[in-house]
Amino acid sequence: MISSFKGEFLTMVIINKSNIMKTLKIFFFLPLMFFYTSLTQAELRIEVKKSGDKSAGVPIAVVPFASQNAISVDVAAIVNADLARSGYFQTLAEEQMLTKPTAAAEVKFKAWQILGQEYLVVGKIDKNLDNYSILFQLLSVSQKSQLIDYKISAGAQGLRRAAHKISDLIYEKLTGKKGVFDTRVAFISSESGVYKLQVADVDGFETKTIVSTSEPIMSPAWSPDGAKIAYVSFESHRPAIFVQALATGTRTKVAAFSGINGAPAWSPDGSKLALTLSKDGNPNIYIADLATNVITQLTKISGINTEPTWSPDGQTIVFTSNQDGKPQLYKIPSNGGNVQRLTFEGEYNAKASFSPDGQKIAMVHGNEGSYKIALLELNTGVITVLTSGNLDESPSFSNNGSMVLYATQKGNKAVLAAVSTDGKIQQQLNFQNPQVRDPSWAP
Amino acid sequence: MDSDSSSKFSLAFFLAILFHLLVIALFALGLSYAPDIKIAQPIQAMRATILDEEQLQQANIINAINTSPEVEKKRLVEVQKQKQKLLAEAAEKLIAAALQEKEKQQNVKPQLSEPEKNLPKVDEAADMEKKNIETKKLDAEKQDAREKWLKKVAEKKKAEQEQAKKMEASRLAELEKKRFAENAIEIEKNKARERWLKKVAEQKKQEEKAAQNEKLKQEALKTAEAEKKQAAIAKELAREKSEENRLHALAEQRLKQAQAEQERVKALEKQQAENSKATELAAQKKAQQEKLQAEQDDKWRDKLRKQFTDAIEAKIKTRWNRPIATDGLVCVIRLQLDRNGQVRKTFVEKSSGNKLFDESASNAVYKAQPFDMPDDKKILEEALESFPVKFDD
Repeated sequence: MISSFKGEFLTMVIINKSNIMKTLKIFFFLPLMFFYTSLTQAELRIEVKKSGDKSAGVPIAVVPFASQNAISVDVAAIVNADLARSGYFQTLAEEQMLTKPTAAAEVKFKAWQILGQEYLVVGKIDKNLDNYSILFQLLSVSQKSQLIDYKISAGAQGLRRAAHKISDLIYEKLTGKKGVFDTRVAFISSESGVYKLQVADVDGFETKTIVSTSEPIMSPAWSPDGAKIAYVSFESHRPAIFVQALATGTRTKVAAFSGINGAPAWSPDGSKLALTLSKDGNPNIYIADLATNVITQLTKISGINTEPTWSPDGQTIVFTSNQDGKPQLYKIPSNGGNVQRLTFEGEYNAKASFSPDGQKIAMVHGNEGSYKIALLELNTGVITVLTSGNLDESPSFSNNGSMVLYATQKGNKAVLAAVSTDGKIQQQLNFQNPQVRDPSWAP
Repeated sequence: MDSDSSSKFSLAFFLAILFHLLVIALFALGLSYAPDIKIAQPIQAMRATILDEEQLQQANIINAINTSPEVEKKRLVEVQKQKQKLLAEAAEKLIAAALQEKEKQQNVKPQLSEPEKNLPKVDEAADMEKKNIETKKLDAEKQDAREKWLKKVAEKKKAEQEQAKKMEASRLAELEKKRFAENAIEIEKNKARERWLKKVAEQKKQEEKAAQNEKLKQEALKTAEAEKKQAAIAKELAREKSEENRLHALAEQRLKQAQAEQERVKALEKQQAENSKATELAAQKKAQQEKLQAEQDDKWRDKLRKQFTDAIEAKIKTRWNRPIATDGLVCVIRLQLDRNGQVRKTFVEKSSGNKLFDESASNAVYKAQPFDMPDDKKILEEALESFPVKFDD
């Protein structure tokens, strides 16, 4: 069964009202800065040292957005969940709120100070026919100031995405880094003998099934523009590689040779797929030109050579090979050339995923039967283990380069999780499906 | 090593000695060697004619044209012919001379042999006698002729001598005449010259006179000018002198004034010093006391300052919500307070690189206000300026 879904359009008119204020603030501050730093030789010097290991998420309260109409989507709740799930914030439960202001002007900071809040999000939604406009402000409780003031417009179908967008804006304002709330994930779920290729928002909602079959589906891969997904399907009892457009559901068979047809990977320009084929003997890496349907062999190595991935500049392909005995990562110029080994530490290094800047590779790092997600610094060759599971697999970088999505085991359930690239923030993605694996973070 | 270097040294030493000896030898040689001094000969004047080179060349060219090969050939042939002619003539002369000699000999021979032929052999003695007599006769004749010829020659000689004498006399007379004439010309010439010289001298004299006159005139002018100049200089000098005098006078006056002022000030100071000596002593004592007090105050103030900063730190610390995953981060917030202990301004002086962390620090400062402000005036001043608050996770 093949289904399709249309990409929801989200028209967001984002007006940042606090920009002028900010500029004025800077102008006011600059002369002061120079004045104080140049003239004062203050003997006062204060040093605040941390006491104990008490460190927690930054307290933030997202007050429910007011609306005259009944709206099916609770935007504030989505924002609240997004911020909480990020690991960096500690949100305030609605029942603990003493007041529920809906605009910055109504806010009494004292009330929020008593609750120990650092930040506050207030807003309201106006409905005009089928169009919703969301007005919201981010405030600093401690400094009693407004940090951002935006207006976002969206259709009824786009309210969820609008909420994720608000989360991204708040996250970026407070952390200085781009948020990844408004992103999607492709994955394979399986339940009672039915395999599904599904796409969902990163919070696990808005799940859409792309392909459903009684035979296994593997290795979903997003095209660079996010419009298509390549995957391996065993629907005809033998593996075949398909490319499917998400908006229309139309799909084309790219490779169905005898033997293995696996691990498709998109070139950064979206014109080619790197594949693993065994049509000429042992599994090797091949390049399929999607425009001409010409398939050329890239590697001619003994053993198993699979899981290709393109570097962001398209110059290099990194793949897994056991040519030296155990699976390790190797690289080869994408137009052919010398093969070079990349990993030497650990018994098992496989399933590479490039960071967007091309400096790092996330991979499965195995030692003594324990498989964890690790980062390989390409400049130094240093490997940093990020996760603590035993069967972590299929790492996939977020498009902002700050998180790595991967599949892991929780109890006897296969679940998806994400980890920050410094390993400090761990998130579990809450999907309703019992068994979820092979995730791929959308571009 | 050692022997090596010593051998090297001895070689060098030997060479040095050799060189020195050479120098001495050269010096000795140089002493006994009188250099051949060549004195330049005085340059003799040469007579030269200026030639037009172009003309000369043209002439040469014409010569060259005249002596073209054919002409040259002809000329050579002519010369050859002449040479041959001369040779032929010489040869003819020689032949002629030879023939004459032969003839002479032949002429003599018959004279000698004829009697032999003619005389019979039987009366050879008679012939011989005859012959002798004849020869004697011939000899006598010969001697006569010779004497005659000698006489003639002597006479001739005598005549010639006389004539020569005569000619010599006339020549001498002529010479005398000529010399006399020449002398006359010479005298005339000298006279003319003297006249010319006289004239020239007179002219010169006149010119000199004129020149002297001119010179005198100019000198007179010069002296007049010089006098004028001198007068001007004298005037200038006088002016300068007067100016100098004026300045001197002024300077003196000023100096006097300054001295007077100095004296006045001195006197005043003296008076003041005298007046304040007692108070100064008192002030010194007071200053010392104050210093002591200040030191004590500083110590005390340090204590107060520490109390103030400790209070702030404690207040901030309890309100600091350290974000997650910020271990090891450090940031510095610059803080300015107002008199009520409220935050006037904060800014991140040194970022930790983590915005959430920097913000948490700022927030902690705001949350901790108001702060208890110090009573001490100096510490209060410090607090009212700005000071750093370091957050160390």
